[in-house]
Amino acid sequence: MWGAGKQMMQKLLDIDRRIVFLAVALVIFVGMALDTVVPLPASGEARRVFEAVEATGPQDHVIVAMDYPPSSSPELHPMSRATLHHAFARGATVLVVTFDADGASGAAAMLTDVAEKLGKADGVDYAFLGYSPDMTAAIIEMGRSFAGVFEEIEVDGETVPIESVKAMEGVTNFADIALAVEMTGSKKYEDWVEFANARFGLKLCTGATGSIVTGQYPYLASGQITGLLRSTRGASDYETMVMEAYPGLEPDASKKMSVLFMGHLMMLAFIGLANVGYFVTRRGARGAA
Amino acid sequence: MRTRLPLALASAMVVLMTLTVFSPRLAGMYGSPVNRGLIILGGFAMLPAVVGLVRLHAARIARMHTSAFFSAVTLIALVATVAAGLIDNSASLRGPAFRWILGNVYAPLQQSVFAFLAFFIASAAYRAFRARTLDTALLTVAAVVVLLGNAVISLPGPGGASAEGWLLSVPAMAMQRGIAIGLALGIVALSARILMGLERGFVGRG
Repeated sequence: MWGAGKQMMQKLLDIDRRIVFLAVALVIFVGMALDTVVPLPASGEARRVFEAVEATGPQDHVIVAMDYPPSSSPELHPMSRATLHHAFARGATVLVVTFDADGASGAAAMLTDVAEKLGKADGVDYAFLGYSPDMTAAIIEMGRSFAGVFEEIEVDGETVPIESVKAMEGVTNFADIALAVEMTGSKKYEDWVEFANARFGLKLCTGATGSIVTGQYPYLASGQITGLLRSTRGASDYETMVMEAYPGLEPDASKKMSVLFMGHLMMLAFIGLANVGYFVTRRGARGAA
Repeated sequence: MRTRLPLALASAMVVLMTLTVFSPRLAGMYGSPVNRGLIILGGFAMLPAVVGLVRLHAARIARMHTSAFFSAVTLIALVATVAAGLIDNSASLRGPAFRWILGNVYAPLQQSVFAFLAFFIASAAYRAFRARTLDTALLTVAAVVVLLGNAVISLPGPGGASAEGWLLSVPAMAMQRGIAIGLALGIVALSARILMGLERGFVGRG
């Protein structure tokens, strides 16, 4: 009797990886097919991002930094979209910058998409500053003068001097910026914290992928980061708050939460099975000894 | 001379850039030009990378290496992307050709490769999170709590916070702080060694 049970428990420890892969694929497809929005209570960190953007108004300039390549966009694009929608809804002038060469085109496309939906004009209500190499030097220089990094920018397909752009009126350096929201899946947030915030006093919120978010908590605790969007969960929290306050934003991260919910539960089930199998076989082995 | 000149230049730059932090006058005079120079150098740094890439893959194709086909794909992709950028002539990379390549080739490829992680992470979690010892038991409990929190079921934690929030903002943060402070001290030490001419690795001397 124990032999058959032991064999079954041993099987729990050695589930073929192809079965795990199949289960993951199944869960993802079912989650996507359900296409449901999971209602969630917002985390405190995400609420602080909402409050920081909410505090801006028509007289303010908000920087949205999209420092990520396409591989991180499923996690970070919903945050960027919600931030752009929120800042535009508040009437703030939005400046988008990227320090990821791979992400520049995607950032420009998203900005144009959100701005067009809300009837915002290029060069007036927003400006796409573009990409610059050597992020550290560029951020330090932006702390002194935006024109030092982006002498010319593109507005409606025309390259013009940055000083002539209406959206940049009254903006010389970080001192003229009310808030920066930075999204990244790498260590790029460190330059924003260490230079833009610590050296030039720029108010900063961040959005991060799950793989790097733990590195941002020390800065959140010290107040150098005002608010933090933690992976898809953070994006969903923030997106939900923005959708409730300013209709017109389509749910994106909130929909992904149903897939994540099922995927995480499946992983927990596998971890549970492995541990049950481990404890039972270990107890059996001890009993036999 | 080959060693001393770069060392003297590096030391002088360390002193100058440190002084620009404390002196707005020096920052205005030297800070901005140096920063702009760095940005330009950063742009030029792409050139040796591209030259190296082309040389490596051209050599593989010439030798009919087993991966010659993939080298050819790499070079064709490189030329096509550069050509798209030149055709668009858009400094902010907003042109239609570049956007088409990004939206229809590059982004789907990168996202697909990244999506494989879901399968491997699930398999790795199943094999790794087993409470064999006290350490692995703690790791497994922490992983389960964070997974549950991310999966919409937040467990209550100390001080009214969620359990996964507490794990991330207290023990994980303490560890991250330790790493950050250690790194910062290392950078200070390395900068001091460069300033004093003791660090010679970057000029080819140990």
